[in-house]
Amino acid sequence: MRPMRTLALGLLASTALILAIIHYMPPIDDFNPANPFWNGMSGFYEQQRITLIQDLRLVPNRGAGQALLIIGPSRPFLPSEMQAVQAFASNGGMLIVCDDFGTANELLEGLRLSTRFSGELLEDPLFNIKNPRFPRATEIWAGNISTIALNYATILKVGDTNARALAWSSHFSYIDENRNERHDATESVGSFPIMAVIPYGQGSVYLISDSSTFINGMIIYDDNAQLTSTIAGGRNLLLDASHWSEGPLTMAKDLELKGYLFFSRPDVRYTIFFISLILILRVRKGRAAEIEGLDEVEKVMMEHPDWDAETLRKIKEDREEYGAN
Amino acid sequence: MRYAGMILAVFILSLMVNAPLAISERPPRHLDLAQAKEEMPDAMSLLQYYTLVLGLMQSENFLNALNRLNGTRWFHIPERVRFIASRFNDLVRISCEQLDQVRSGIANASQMVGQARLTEAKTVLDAALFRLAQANRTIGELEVASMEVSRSFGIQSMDLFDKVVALRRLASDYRDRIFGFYGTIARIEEGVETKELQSTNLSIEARPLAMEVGSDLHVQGTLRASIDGPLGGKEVGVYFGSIKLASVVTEGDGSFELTMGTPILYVPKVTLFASYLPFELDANVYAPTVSNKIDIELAYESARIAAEVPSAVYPNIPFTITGILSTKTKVLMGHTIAIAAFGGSVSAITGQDGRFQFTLTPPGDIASGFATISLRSEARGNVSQAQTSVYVKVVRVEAELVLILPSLVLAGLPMQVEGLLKANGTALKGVQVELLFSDMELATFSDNIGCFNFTVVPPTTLPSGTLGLIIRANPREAWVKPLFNTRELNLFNPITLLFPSAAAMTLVVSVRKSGRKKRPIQPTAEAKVMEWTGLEAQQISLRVERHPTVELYYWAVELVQRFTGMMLQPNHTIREYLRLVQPILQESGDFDTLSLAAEMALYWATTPDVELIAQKAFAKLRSRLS
Repeated sequence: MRPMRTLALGLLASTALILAIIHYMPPIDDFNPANPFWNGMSGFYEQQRITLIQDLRLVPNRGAGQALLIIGPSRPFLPSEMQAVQAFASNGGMLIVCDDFGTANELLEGLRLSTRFSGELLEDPLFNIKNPRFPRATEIWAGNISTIALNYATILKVGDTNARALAWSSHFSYIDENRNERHDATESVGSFPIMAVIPYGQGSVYLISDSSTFINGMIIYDDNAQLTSTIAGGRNLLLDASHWSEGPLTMAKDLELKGYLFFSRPDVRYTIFFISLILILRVRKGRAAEIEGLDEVEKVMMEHPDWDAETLRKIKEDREEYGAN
Repeated sequence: MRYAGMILAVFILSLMVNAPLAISERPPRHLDLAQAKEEMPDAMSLLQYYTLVLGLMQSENFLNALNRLNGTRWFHIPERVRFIASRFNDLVRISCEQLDQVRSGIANASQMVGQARLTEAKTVLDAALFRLAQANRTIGELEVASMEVSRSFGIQSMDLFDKVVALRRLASDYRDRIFGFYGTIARIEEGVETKELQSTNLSIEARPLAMEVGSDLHVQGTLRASIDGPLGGKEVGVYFGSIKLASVVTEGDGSFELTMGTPILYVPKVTLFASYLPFELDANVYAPTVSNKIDIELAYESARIAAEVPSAVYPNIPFTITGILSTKTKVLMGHTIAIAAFGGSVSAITGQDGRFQFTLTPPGDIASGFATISLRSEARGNVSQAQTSVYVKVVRVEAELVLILPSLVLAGLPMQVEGLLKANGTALKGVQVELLFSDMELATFSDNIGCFNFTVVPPTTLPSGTLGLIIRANPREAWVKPLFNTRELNLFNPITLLFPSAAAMTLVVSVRKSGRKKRPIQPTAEAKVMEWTGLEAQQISLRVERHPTVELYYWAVELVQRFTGMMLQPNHTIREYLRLVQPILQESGDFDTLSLAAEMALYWATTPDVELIAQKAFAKLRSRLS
């Protein structure tokens, strides 16, 4: 076997394995509804009847009876997307934005709202799960929800006069401004708003200052699982899937899918088929020509490699010298 | 094996290069709770919280204290100290409940003493005292537990203990109050027994004993002292259940009488009694007393609302709720029915048949699903109030789309997309319809009969195959769901088919070229072989490229193979095969001759004589072997 062929076979085998891994390994991106690990939202997605929105511009202009969830956005919002969300909410839709350190403030600005996600880390040394970075909101005015478990959350800076805070952290919580994981004398302590509702046209905008409330690792705690259904009532849930940043695996999955779709196109498929046939023919013809171009002695040697090439060459020379053909 | 090792090496190397693609991931912006380090609650915060709870207890705000205490279940307490914290919380809760019961007992006893129900008051005080003893014991345990909690959670040892000790002061205060009441009761009883106080007797009668709610009740009675006889000019309190109906002053013969309207209570039975509580100078002469108790049966009619609602209602579309207000025996006319639904409230009056009717309109932005409608009628006369809730299902219907699409469209040429929008058989007029495909987005409005159409030109950049269309419509009618429909049609794009066509053409040309290059059959050689062998031309044509003598040899080989069963292998030389079959053939040498002639033809020059000899040898061999 020649080295080139060896190399090609090795590459082919590893590529096939990599493609199989990419295909079968579940995504591990934050918030991905297909991600079954702690940072995914497979549990939330299966629990609720959710429609994924891959392009925010496609949300219905009239949002009555529907709730649009924008959870943990990392990508910027385009003006056209903001317009679509604005039309959705102002025409009776319910917009629920869960964010902490992402890009949702851009959206709020685009919606001409004054409330913001502060981007400061909220910690609670008493009401928490495991440690202060997992605080609990304990004072809640939303249906039967009594506590919400948070994960590396921030707080709301409520700036709209018609906004109404629905959930607060405990009086023991504080803002860890320098993120040294302890309370310093200059850091604010008290009860901070973590959920608010702002009437918006005929609809409403709900803000939750933590993007992680619905991930698999957190939805099992407290009343997190009931939070959406409590807020949204019986509305149809739409989940924006277009503003999450993708990791290499998801990008590879996308690429694989795109590749598959590209090669599934009939024109591409048939072009490749015919080109392959031509190449095969060329290769075979090339080999035939190669064999044809070989010296008579070399041909005999190919069939009888154990014969003595020197003797054959001598016979050929004698024949050429004395023989007729 | 060498190559397998090389393949494996390339494979592993390639995996190492590609592995980061599959497993690498940027760090998440939140934390994995399962991996998070467990931390103790902050000691200062913990102390503050318990100070709050114990402070509420001290101020006798026990309900609030219990609510706050329930909040401790949201603290994260590490497993190793959970029992200590849990035990402390339990003790706080138990002491809170016990002290609350003591406080309630004291309050009840106080009221009873005020109503001169001394015996009952004493019983209640006994129970309260027993509870207080339990509370004291619990507080003792709590003091010990507080030391343990302080030690486990790093709280300054005396801080929490001091807060717990403060509860002892409250318990002590309760004890003083209980004994104060005991003292009062004892003094009264002692006064009666030592004849310092005259015992009194109060008896009452009432009529009717059964009446409609709110009707007038006539009560009469007499107050007598054990020595002084009938007591006149004394104030007697008359109670209707827990409500004090009136205070009445006795006549000179100790009697009193009154007729009064009773409070409207929709309960089947109420206890009537009177009490005499002497005050000022009388308190040193007469003992307080409670009258006999009379049960008054109250007659009233329970009202009932029966409402009928449609099985489904639609946003922005009015619907009617009808119903009837009745008792067991009659329908109720002229009663007000108030209804609360969809965030508002309206009211209506029942007609002569007791029926009522409302027309409600669900708001456009109401969520689909069940909505609650509450109906309520106020009590009037002997008819009690009534209330009920009904549920209506708010639904939105799907918009129906009839779409006319061509079965095949050609890229670059205009096509018509026509459609009709309706819901529940009603045409949807003036609806904005959007058509999205590829990167194009078109919009139009449905006309008066719900029809719309688009003229679109599929771009020539699209590949041949299926073309996905998205049709989106947002009906103005709130009761119709927004439409989101996807369709596919077949697109033929000659431009994109150029590539496979060109490839196919190249293939055809290539195949034809290689076909032409085949060498033509040499007719002379073929003729020669036919002449020598007499075999069919078709078979011979396969070997006509060889020298006729050589070809003759191979035919001879076939005969020999059939005869001897020894096959000529590709690696056999002519001589090798000859040596192989010679022992079996055992003949004069025809095959030897043919072998020699073939060798000469292959490797030497041949002459017509040799060819002739070969022919003869072949003929002989064939006749012999066949």
